[in-house]
Amino acid sequence: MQSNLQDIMDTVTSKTLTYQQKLFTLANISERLLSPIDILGYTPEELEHINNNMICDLNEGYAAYRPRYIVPDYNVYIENGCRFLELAPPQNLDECLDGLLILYSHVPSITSFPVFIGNLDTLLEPFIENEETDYIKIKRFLNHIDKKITDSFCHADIGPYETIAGKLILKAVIELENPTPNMTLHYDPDKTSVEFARLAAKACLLVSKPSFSNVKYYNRDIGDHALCSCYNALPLAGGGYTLSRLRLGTVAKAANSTDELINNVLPKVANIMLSIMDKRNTFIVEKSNFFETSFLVKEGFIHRTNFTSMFGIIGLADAVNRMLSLEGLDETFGTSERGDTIGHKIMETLETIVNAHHGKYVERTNDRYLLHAQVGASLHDEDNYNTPAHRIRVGQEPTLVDHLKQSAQFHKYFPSGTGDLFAFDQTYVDHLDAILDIVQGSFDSGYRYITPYLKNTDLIRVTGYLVKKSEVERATNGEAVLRDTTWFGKGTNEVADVFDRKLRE
Amino acid sequence: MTMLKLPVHRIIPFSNVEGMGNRTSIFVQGCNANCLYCHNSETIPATHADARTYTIDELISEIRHNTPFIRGITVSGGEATLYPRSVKALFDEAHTLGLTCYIDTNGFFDSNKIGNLIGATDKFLYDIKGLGTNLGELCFSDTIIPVNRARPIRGEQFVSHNQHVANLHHLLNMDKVEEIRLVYIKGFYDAEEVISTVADVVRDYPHANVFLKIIRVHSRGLTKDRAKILEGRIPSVDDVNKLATFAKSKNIQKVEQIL
Repeated sequence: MQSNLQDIMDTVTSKTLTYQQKLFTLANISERLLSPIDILGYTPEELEHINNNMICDLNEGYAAYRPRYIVPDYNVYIENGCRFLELAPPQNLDECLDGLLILYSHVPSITSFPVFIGNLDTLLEPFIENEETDYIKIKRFLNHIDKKITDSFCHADIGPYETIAGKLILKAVIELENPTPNMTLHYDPDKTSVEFARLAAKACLLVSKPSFSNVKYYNRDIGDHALCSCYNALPLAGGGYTLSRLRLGTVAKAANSTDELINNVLPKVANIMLSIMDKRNTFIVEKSNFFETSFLVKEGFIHRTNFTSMFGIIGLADAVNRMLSLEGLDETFGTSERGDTIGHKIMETLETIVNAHHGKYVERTNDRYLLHAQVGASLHDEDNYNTPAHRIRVGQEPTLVDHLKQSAQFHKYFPSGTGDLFAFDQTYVDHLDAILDIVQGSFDSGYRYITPYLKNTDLIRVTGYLVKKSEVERATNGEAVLRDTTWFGKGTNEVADVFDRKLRE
Repeated sequence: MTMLKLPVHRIIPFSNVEGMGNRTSIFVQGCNANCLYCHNSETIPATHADARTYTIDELISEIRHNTPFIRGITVSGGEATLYPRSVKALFDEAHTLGLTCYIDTNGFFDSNKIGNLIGATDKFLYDIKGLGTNLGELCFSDTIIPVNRARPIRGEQFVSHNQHVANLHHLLNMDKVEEIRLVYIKGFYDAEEVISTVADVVRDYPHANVFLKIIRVHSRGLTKDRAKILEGRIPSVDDVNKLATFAKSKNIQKVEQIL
C-alpha cells in the first residue's frame, strides 16, 4: 500500500520502536511514497485490488532496489573468500565464523536482514577440530546472530547428513532458546542418521526448531534449494524477487457461489496479481541496477538466473467456509469433505492459472512463478478473515490423525513452501521415535514440511517464524522490544489465537 | 474374514508410551488380576458401560485410519492374553499392514495355552508384579473390584510357583521382550529380591537388549478409598533411585525410573 507523510511522523515519534526499527521502517515508507502507477506501471485496476485488500503486497516497496529474498551460496566464501569485503578464504573456525558474520551484514532482503545464512553444518564441519572449544565458539556465533539480526525470518539450514558441526549447532540452539535464526533440517531418512534426527526432534520440541523438511520432495520440485525466511523453498545461489499474496478469504467475499468464485472472481484477481508480479520483477531486473552493482552477483554468491517469484495465498479456510455457508452446509474447513473438495477446486484453479502464465525473468523455475502457502505477517484488519496458508482455523481443528491427513492433501500445490505445526505434550521429549514416526508418516502422506513443538515453552512458532511469548507480552504492554517479528507475532496471536493451538495427546 | 471379536474399553490412536515409536494402543476390557494400585480399574471387570465389542475387521479399520503415522499397535488392558484367538487374529491382519504388534501383559498366563498368540506377537511389555506370598493380596484379592472380574484367578501358580517368572524366561528365550516393568510398592514383596530375580533371568539373554522401568506407585487420581489402601506403601524418590542403582549393580544395563 502507498505510504504518506503522516507515516513518517508516526514512525519518528513512536514509543515502541527501537532506533534501528525506525530506521528500517522509514526506509520502507520512502519506497512506498512513490506511486506504483508511475514507477512500476500498475494499472488503476491493479492498485485498486491492493487497496481493497484482495491482494496483499506485504508492504514491499514500489521503488524496489533489491529482491525480496536472497539465498547466497556461502560456499563461495569458503572457497574463494570475498574480494569486495577483503576477506581471504577462511583457514580455521574462528575466521570462518567471523567472515560469515561480516557477510551477513551485507546480504540484503526485504527486511534488510539476511533471510538465509547458509547450510551452517556443512559450512562449519571442515573447520571442526575440538568439540569442546568449538562448541563455545558456535554457541557464541549463534547468540551473536540472534542479537544482531533482530528478525527471526533469518533462517539457517542443516542436514541431511549427521555432522559434528550439526550436533554442536543443535546443542547450542537448545541451550540458547533464541528465536533467531529460524532453522530447518533437510530430512531424508535414507541419509539422516536416526541419532541426528532424534536430536533434531528433541530440539524442535524444546525450542521449536529445526523444522523437518522433506528434502527429496523439494529436490524433485526445484533442485538445489534452501529453506529461508519462514519456510520458503527457493533456488540456492538465487532467491525470490517478490512475494505477493492473495487473501482468499477476502476474495471469496466478492463471490456469491462456488461457481462464481472458481470461474470468475478467482481467475480475474489471480491474473491481476500475476501482472503485478511481472512488473515488480521487471523493475528489479531492468531498472534497479541491483544485479549490476551487488558484489554478491559479481563474485558468484548469487546469479540473476537463479531467481524466481512466489505467488502466495492465505485464507483458504475462510474462502471455503464462506462457500460452505453459501451452500447451506453447517460445516467448516478441516472437518468437511465438501470443504476439502472446494479447497482443491480453488487450488487447482490457481495452479492452472499460475502455471499457464509466462513469468518474467524466472527461467530457473521454467518461466513459472511458484505457489506459496503464506503464513501471514500483516497487522491489517483484513487478516481476521484470512487464516494463514491452507491451515485450519485454530479452534476448528480435528483430531491429530485427521488433521495430518487433511492438511497433507494440500502440500502438493506449494512448491515454494508450506508447512504445518503441531503442539505435543511433554511425554514426547522422552519418546522421540514417536515424533519421528509422525514426521515420516506426514512425508509419506504428502507433507513437505512439519514442525512438532512442545506446548508451554516460551519460544513458540507463530506461523512460520519464532517469537518469545514473554517478549510478545512486553510488546503488548507498549514496551519497545528487540525483534520486529515480535510485532508480527503479537498481531497474529491476537488474530488467530495461535498460542492456543490444540494440544496433541 | 474372521468373526472373532474383542471387548475393547478404549483405543488411543497415537501413544508414545506403550512400546517403541508411535503406536495405536488398544485397551481390552477384562483382567484376570485385580492389583491394588490399578490406575485403569475400569478395565478389570468383564463388562463396562464404556466398553464395546469390536470385530477384528472393525479394529483393523480403526488402525488403518492411523497409518502411516504409526509403526505398530499395542494391545494393553485389561489383559490381552485372556483373548488369545482374537488378539492373534488381529495381529495377523495388522502384520499385513506392515505394523509391529505388541502386548502389554501382567505375565499371568499359561504359555502352553497361548503359544499361537506368542508366536504372532513381536514384543511384550512385561509387567513383573512381584514375588511371593503377598502377591496374592497385591494382585488377586477382590479388594478393589469385588465381583464380576473377568475370569478371576486365585493365582497359586504365580504366588507359589513363580510361573510368571518362567513365562518371562520363555519370552526372553524367543527374543520377544522389549521392556520389563515393576510398579514399586512397599510391603508386598522384597523389591531387591524381585530385581535380583529379573536380573538372573535377563542375564541369560544378553542380546535381548531389555529395558527395565521402575515406576513409583502413586495415588494421584484414585478415589479416597483407593488412595487409603496405598497409604504408607508409597516408596520415596530416594527408595526408587536406590532400587535403580541396585538394578544396575546387578548388570541390568538400561534402567529408567518413573518418579
